[in-house]
Amino acid sequence: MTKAQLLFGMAVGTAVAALGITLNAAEITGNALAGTGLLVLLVNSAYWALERRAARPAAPAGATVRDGVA
Amino acid sequence: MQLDIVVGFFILGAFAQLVRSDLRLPESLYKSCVIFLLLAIGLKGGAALSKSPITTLLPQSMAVVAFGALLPLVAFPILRYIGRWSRIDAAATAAHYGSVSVATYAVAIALLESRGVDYEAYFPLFVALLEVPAIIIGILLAGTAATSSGGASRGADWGKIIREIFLNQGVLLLLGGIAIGAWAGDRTVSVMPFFGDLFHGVLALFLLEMGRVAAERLPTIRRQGAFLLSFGVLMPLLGAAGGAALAGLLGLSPGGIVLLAVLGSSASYIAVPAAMAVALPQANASLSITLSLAITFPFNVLVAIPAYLALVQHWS
Repeated sequence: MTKAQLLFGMAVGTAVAALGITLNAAEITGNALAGTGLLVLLVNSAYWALERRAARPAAPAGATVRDGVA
Repeated sequence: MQLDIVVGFFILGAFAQLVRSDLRLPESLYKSCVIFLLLAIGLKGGAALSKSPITTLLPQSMAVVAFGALLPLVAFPILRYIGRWSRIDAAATAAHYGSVSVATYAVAIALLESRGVDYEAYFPLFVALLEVPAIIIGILLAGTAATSSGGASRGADWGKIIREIFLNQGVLLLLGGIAIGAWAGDRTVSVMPFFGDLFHGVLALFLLEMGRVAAERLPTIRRQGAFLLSFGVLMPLLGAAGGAALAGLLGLSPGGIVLLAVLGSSASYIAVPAAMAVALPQANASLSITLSLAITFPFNVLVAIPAYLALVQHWS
């Protein structure tokens, strides 16, 4: 997942959630739209976090903090 | 915002798949449902068409065709430059989003009819018209890449492609239904007890299977990442905004505004995949079908269509 894709997903999620909240404020039920926006935000964040964790180099077996491995 | 009863069947089908039930509509019954729905929609639209003046229909039809050609041009750069998809995959998927889903349209008219909202009954003509331009734009968008890799557009077997566009089961039945309805006019009343009264029941059965098929594709979404979800939610909203704006310009009724928004919002998963398999065989069909069937279709049915109707009713 590229940074552009993350930003795109966050922008879409925020816009859809904002649309749903605005509809609710105008007394038109927008709960489902707001929920979808939040889902898009959540899924994008989760994918980004998981991919970053997976990209972190694994510590060699037996390595310690003294070896510079946190 | 109350969901139509037929949506409950879609949710049931999805639930059955998620809990790994052995629920499955027999293939022949599913195909029968598709034939029934296409003919029912076509007949009703054709009967209305026979009473509509060509001076009204012609400019509206041309505007709708232009709208259908524009949608892939919006989808393509997003897929190509943000999604980093190959040119061919982006073009094939953009074509799906420029075309329409008859099932989504059927859910929308079921909702409008259950709420007593009037709409232009000749809308099936627009459904048929919107099937075509996006396919051509998609093939043109893919043109360069397809040529360089020895794909479809070098030889461009346009005869085969056009045959696939106009003679695939979906378009043939829809156009055939419209033609019979337009020819028969009021005489369609004699077949309407079957095609009219049973419409909602057959749609419910069809959606039961669609729910199952959509849920079956969830693992593909997990593999492909969050971009699919973001695009599959954004594109229907952009298409709906364009459709609603165009419907407003054309002076359509509130029901017509909802329907053109729904047509802009929906993505094809029957006619376009068949045409793309011929025109762009290198394209990854799994990506585009998963997007349109497992993300955009459920989003439209569960979230977007009721929201469009609520919005239009609020403003009108």
